[in-house]
Amino acid sequence: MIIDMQQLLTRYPSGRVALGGVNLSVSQGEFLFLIGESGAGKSTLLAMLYGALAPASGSLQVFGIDMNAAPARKISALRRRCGIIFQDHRLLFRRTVFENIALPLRVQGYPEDRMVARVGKVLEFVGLEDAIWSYPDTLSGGEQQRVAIARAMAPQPQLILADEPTGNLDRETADQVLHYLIQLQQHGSTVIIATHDLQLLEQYPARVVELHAGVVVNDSADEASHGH
Amino acid sequence: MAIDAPRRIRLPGGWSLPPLGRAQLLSMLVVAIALWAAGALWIGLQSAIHWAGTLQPTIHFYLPQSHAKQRQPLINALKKIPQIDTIHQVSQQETRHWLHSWLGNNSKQNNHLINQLPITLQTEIHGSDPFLLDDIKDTAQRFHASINPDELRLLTARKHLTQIRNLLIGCALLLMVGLALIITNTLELSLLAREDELELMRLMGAHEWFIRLPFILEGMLIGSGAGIVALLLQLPLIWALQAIGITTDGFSTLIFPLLVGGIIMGTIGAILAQPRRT
Repeated sequence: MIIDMQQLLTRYPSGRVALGGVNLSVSQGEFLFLIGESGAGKSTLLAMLYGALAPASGSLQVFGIDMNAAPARKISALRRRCGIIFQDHRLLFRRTVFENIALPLRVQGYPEDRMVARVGKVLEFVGLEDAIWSYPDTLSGGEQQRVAIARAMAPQPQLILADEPTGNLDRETADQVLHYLIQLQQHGSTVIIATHDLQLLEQYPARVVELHAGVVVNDSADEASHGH
Repeated sequence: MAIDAPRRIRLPGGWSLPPLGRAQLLSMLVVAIALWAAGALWIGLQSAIHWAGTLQPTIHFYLPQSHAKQRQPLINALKKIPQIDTIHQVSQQETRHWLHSWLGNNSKQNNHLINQLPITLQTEIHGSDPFLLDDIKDTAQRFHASINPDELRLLTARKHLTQIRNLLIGCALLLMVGLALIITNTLELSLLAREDELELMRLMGAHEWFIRLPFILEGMLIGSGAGIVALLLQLPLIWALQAIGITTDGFSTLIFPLLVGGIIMGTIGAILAQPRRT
């Protein structure tokens, strides 16, 4: 298990419960869709996985790190093993595509002389090798999201956390983005996608966890085990 | 696929300085002018102290003949004042010679006057001390001696100059705080412009020192740059003082405070401007 949470509870700053007693375990190499309506707690759950939010009660372990008591040093170490993809992709528009993708590599002390080759390789993977010296605002929305995927995968993370990665994309581009994420899983990464785009689920048979008002109401893994 | 590396100047270890733009240059200039003003005041004051020192190396004590017995105790008391180098009693022969040259050769009248003249002790003073003037006055008063009033006024001027210098040191410390705040403000603008990038870096697992170091380096760069500019701007002032015959060692004493002070201010400014954790 790379993720294990028991009775995980957290609140919004307003005091309202964001997650109310979530039990969930994720194994290495799994592909998981996290679905639910807006405000169900999908983004909150992802944010807790990379240490942006601390649990109010219950237990959460990610890569064996107890997130209830993890110091900043351990949170940084954990984040280095994660690739995060945001709905608004959070690209730096005053930096080139190269600079954007190289950012996590620089943070991790990747050798400077191998940087260009590595960035070129991940851009090739998402089909944007010609855009390496372009600025993000010269790219389409779908291309920008592919750059964000390339940035997340550049340091070869064990865990990919994608928060509504296809939220602003047309059907065809969304399918393409999903295709890249599936390929990342096939290369050994664990992928968790928070989405309310139910059509994505039809594209790829994967584990689906449904949240409603901060509680897991359906987990396809449980259904499968009960079926067996 | 052959790809050229981007032409960016980077620091070792993957760091890059925040982009140095107009705000940073303006901040450096403001800090440099403030440092220059402080330095110029310091040089002016050092020159004034030097000038007062060269004009007033001696103090004369006059002991009336009626208290001639106090001569040796007065000399002993003066010897205890550390700033008094030498004590020399002006001889009657010397006084006679001076009186002759002043009043002419009426020896009968002169002899009468010489016998009335007080015993004169000439002392050489070195250095400055805030209590020197009071020590001299107290000692003279204790043994019923008097002091040359012009020399006393110069000594008073020297005391005031020393007080102004101490005040200036206090002002310089306040100025340093102000200049550090100017640098802080500039760096905060820089931080604001890079807020998204810094937040991303944290989300990617960057350590705090990895995020902070470029800003600390930038602060040090602004501070040291301002120090160098301020130091160079002192040169015309030194030349102007030399041209009117005033020598000063103020420049050499400014090199260390301006350069190191600039770096310290820049570093403090950068630390105060550290990005908030997200």
